[in-house]
Amino acid sequence: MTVHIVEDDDGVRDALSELCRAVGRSVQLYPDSEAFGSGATVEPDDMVLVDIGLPGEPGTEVVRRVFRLPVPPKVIVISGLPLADIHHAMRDFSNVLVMRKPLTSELLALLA
Amino acid sequence: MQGVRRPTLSEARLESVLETAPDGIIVMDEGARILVFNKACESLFGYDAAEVIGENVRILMPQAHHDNHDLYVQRYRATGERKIIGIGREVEGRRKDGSIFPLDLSVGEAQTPNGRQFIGVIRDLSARRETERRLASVQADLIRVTRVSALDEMGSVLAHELNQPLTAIMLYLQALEREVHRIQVTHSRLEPRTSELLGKATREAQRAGSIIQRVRQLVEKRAPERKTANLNVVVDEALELAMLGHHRSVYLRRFGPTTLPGVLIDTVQIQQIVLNLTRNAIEACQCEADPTVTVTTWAEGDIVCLSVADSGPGIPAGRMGTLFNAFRSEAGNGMGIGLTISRAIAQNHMGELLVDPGGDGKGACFTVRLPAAADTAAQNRDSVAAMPMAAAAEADKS
Ligand SMILES: Nc1ncnc2c1ncn2[C@@H]1O[C@H](COP(=O)(O)OP(=O)(O)OP(=O)(O)O)[C@@H](O)[C@H]1O
Ligand SMILES: [Mg+2]
Repeated sequence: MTVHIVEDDDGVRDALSELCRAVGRSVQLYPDSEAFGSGATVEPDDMVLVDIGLPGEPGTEVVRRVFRLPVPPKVIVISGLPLADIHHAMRDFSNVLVMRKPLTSELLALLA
Repeated sequence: MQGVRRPTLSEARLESVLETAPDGIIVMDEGARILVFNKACESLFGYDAAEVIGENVRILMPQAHHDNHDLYVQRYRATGERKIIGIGREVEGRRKDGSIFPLDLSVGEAQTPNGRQFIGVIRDLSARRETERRLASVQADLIRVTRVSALDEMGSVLAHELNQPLTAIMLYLQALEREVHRIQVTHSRLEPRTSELLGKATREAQRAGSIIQRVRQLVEKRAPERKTANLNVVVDEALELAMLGHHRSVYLRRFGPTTLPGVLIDTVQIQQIVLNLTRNAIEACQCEADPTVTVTTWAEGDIVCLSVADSGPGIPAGRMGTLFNAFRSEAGNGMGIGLTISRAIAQNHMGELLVDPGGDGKGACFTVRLPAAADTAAQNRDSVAAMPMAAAAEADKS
């Protein structure tokens, strides 16, 4: 299982990848939605971690792309946006897990 | 031909000067009786000349000034003390309908065969007063817009900017914990000191996290006021503020279609973006020849766009990487937070803020793209507000 991380903040992206590797996951990193769209090969048992606030296409485009796959893998949206904006951004998706930054050990539980 | 004397040439010339003068001209005698009341005065005061000639000049003043005026005239005649003659000042006039208006009055004095006469030249100041009033209210708006959202946005930008590295720190600590755990297990060696210090570091990071959380809650309490608005109107208002004091030094060009799809926005926040971008643009180009700022609005399908371009030098390539990072300004007097705030606002509106750095004789161009308002947006928002995030987390964990 590979964790695909779409996050524009270098520090957060690297820290996420370190944590994933610490629990034995392999990772693929993308700085924005476009890079994910053109470069990602996603397997059904992979996991996609995506930030909503990205330069260029918003993170919700990544979610849309993943949901178009025949068997979509698990998607976790992470965001530092205000709650109202998260709700607004995610209005088209009813069953996506959203985690707010800073991320607690919840994420670890999901990765393990 | 005795009584009906033909006007002399100079009298005729005086007559035409009086009638075509753009300013109001009044001549009165020593007893403050009106002798001449020209055309401009008629439109200023709403009286016909015939109605006021021979009357005391007081009828052109608000009641409150009547006594003063009598006093001035008396005192001047007695002592020669000048309150207005040869000086000119701002006074109030009273129209026939009783309304009061500000006017600029200068008074001259002439000795004539018929005695001393006073000539008053009157300029209506209402238009200038109105402009000044409008300017003051626009200035007040500017202060309100910048203060209110500066505080709000400062809070959320700070929270966001600190939240990112803090998120990274907490993730690194968790990774480190796993690493220590792994070492303990594989080498069956206990690392009590390391674990203890790690635990302390984690607790402190969480403390910082809860402070950020509190700031965020404060900012979020002021729920964003989203209303469907016309971007053209929103932009024009903000431009009026941004151009205050720059009208003479910078040329503003404004392009846009007469109709645009509505956008669901917090008007003050979007105006903040326009203000920030326009101020940056003015700053960038005002030292160049023919400084020009071009503001354009347009629609691209479901996206409504706004661009601010300038005739400045553009943004050097080396600057681009950190352009949107807070507190990295090189402008000297700026805080370097304008673009950070602007991008955050655009993203909070599910839009984006893009930059074309220009260069090679082209100025920079910043573009804001906002989704057009869907009619159903408000309903969707309500139904999603009910989305239980924690519950979703629970479901996924199992
Ligand atoms: N139109 C532009 N042309 C050239 N450089 C620009 C332009 N707009 C922004 N910049 C550069 O980007 C920097 C950051 O802009 P930003 O608006 O974030 O901060 P600032 O204007 O310096 O300060 P403030 O917080 O008062 O807005 C500026 O200092 C300037 O160097
Ligand atoms: Mg600025």
